Amino acid sequence: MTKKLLFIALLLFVPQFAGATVYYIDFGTTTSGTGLTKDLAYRSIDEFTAVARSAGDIAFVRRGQATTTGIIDLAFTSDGTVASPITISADYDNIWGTNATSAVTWTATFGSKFLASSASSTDFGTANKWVYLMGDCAETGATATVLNTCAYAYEVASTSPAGIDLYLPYKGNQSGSGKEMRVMLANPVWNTAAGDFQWNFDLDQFWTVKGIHVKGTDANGQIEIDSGGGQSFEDMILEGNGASDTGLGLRDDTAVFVIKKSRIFNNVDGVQTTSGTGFNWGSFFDILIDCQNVATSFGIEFGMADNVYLDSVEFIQCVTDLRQGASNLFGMSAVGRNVDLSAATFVAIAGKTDRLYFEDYEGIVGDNRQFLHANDADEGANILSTTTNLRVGGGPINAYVNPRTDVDSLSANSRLTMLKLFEYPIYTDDSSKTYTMYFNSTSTTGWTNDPTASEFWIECEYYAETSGADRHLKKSTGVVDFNGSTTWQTLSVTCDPTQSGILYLRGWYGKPKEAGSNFFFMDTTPVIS
Amino acid sequence: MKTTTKKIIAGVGIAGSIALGAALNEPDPVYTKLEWDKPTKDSEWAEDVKKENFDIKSTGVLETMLESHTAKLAREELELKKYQECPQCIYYEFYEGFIADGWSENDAVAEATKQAQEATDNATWSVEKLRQSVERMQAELDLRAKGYVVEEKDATKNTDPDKIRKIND
Repeated sequence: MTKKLLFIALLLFVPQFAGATVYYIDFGTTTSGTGLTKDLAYRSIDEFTAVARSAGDIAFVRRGQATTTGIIDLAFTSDGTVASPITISADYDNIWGTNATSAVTWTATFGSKFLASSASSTDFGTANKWVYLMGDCAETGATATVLNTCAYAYEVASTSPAGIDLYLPYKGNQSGSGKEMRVMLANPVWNTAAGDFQWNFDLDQFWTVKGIHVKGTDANGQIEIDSGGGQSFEDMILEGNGASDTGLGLRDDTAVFVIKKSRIFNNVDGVQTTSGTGFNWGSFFDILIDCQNVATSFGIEFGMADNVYLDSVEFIQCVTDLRQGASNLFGMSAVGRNVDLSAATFVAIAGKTDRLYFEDYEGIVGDNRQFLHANDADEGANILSTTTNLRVGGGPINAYVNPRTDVDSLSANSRLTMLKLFEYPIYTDDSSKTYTMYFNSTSTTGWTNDPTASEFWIECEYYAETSGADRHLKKSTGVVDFNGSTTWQTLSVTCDPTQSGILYLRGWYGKPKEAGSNFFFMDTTPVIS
Repeated sequence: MKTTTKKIIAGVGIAGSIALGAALNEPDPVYTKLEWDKPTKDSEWAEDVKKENFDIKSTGVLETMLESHTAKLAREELELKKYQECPQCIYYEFYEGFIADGWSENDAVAEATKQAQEATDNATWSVEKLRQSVERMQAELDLRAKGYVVEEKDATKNTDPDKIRKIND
């Protein structure tokens, strides 16, 4: 059977950024050239980054090569722009003609790390190759001038006669059997794991890096971002030396970045904000952080006022998966969706005002949790969704509220130190309505004193003028009797908007923890009357 | 120009070298100043700017680059000022972080000293490199403005081929 080359030629011409120049880097070339053709490629990434570049310039790096001698810290002289970042990318377009089509076909299963083959494959003689299924990506060839937007290329972790295992789950557009596969050589490798060198984005903005394997033992990170913004990383591999290394280091001042579909491994710190600093904005999508059991390792260490988004992040072999540095005690906020934690202590948050919100915790649909100043050695989220103890006639989901054992972790003095139980935006007209929430503690002995109305309330915030956007905040005034009753009890608030629009319904809890458990359930479905 | 390794000290211009901690356990690196045989003639500038590919950039792009790199130079100079005027500040940021991470006092001091020196060296290099790049950009623009070199689109049959800039952007 003639094997058809099914990869799709680029159908639409995507113009190079105006003013941009294309460069080529080949670690395997014997003599460094002008960098302007692949036959006259640079020998090092430094030749591209250390020299002034214009926004939009791009350097393609040949796959399957490693540069391990003559390494220096990588410095970046220029900035890209929002519209035209400066780019370093491995070859996805087959510029050097090293891509190949697999001799067998494959079965794609969304969300699986395993791709089954139709027969035993001989495509993976060398390690760490990358693959994509036909239809998921396209190749421009030697005339490529812009970043290949291939979003579904995956690094092969291991092979067997039955198929291949990927480091990250497959999320491309193909499904079923009989899929053809393109096989690419390994990411180009920069440095050795023992080399004390790094990529240092210092006051540098809007760089895009895709498909590079960065090794190193610099304590500040294989990649360090120090007062840099707009960095974008994809298909990266950050590898430490298994001792005191950091994968991605966020230092000194604010860093703003996104990292996608990447692997960080063999570091004591996968991602770390220097203690005492922070104010970073970081987004992590489809990431594997593997600490490889390095002593005292942690996956991500947050800094002061860090604002972090985690989506489909897996932690393995770390001593602590998520933690906050001892000197970073304020204002951290992290939102996680489908975060897979595995360490014995997977969350260690020291800051009194720091919060973690998880959706689909550990990949379980509908398991949602909130941590406020929490150590979780005993699975102790402050709020977690549950279907136990459902109220008859109530909603399908409860929130189980479990204040921390640290007696000073909650206070009603400030919303910063309270648990926000819920916030619902509700579109309503201008009629008066009463909003009721139901609560239940199954143990009266868990309470010495009931929470006061100032420690536990629901509130609505609604438009209170016929035009204009000023809102009135109205709190409930009732109390619950948790130390006297195990029945479902209510807090209600009547709201009187003067125009149609969004009304916000919220619940707050801030009673300092007593010696007893102080836990309770909340029916998450409001009753509106 | 010999572009040095990243680990440099730019001559004796640094005020307050980092020498606050215990002696490092590693040998002193070899520091080399950013070396540049700065041109003095148009013919020399015309060749020198090629080292940063400014000869292949169109005039409009070069002007944009000059503006952005001049602005970045100002930011980098401000950063360097911090390192030069308060080396202890830089050192302590590193030291505090290593202590918070559980490093021993000796290790934290040694590594913080090393990192602080590297950070100062890197900041120094960044400023010197940007100054060089900005000068080169301006030089290329000046050469074009006076007609010493011309973009390919403006070349005539009488233009010296060696003076034609073949734009690639």
